[in-house]
Amino acid sequence: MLIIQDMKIYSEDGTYLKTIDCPEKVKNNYLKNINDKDLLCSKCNKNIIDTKFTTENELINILKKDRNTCLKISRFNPMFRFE
Amino acid sequence: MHLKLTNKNKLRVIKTVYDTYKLNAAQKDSCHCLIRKIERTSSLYSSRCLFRNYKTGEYEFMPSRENFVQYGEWKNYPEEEWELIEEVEFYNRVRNPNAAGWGAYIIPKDAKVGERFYIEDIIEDILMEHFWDSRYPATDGECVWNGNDIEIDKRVYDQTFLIG
Repeated sequence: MLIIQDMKIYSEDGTYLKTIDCPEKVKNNYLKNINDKDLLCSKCNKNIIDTKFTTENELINILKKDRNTCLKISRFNPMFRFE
Repeated sequence: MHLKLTNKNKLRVIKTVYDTYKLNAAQKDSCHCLIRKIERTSSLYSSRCLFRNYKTGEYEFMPSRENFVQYGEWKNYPEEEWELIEEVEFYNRVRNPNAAGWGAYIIPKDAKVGERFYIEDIIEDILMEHFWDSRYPATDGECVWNGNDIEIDKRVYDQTFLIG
């Protein structure tokens, strides 16, 4: 379980992973599917990971390598707890 | 699981009624009453399969023979191992039990053209999110009064996602 608090993502042991912050305030309709896990943002032409199809460990590893990786997170995803 | 937007923007509220007693009371009070027929949308239907394992007799109720499940796994139910017992379709919105085919929005009599309102019980069936194999309906919403009707602002359902 990953915890989202004030737009910051933490792992279960409290490690800070990332702040969700899009300077362009991109909405869902700007995103196009490239494959199951990746989306393309038509605003800044950057890949976005759709967390719908990633595991918790995959996501932690991705964010540890690059905290600036963009994510799409659904509030219905049971992998996240919103506080 | 349902996600309510709630009235975060502290807008005036449009009430929804499902009986003529409340509708007439609103009418007498000079409110604007907008009657809507309740209609289902194809986007809120889901199907599920009831499978039985040929060897163990165990049952599973799943969206299809290939399913993505939590923790990044695919779970498969191949024909040679799992018998399809039943395939069923169901609707993903459970409504107010008083709703019998129609509902009405009660707009305050002093509504201004262009005014934004919060609808606490939305009559229209709108798909809010399709996550894995589940479909989640909107239950509340925001709209703008144009002087004759309300225009539901579907952009508010983008709050279902965090992007960045």
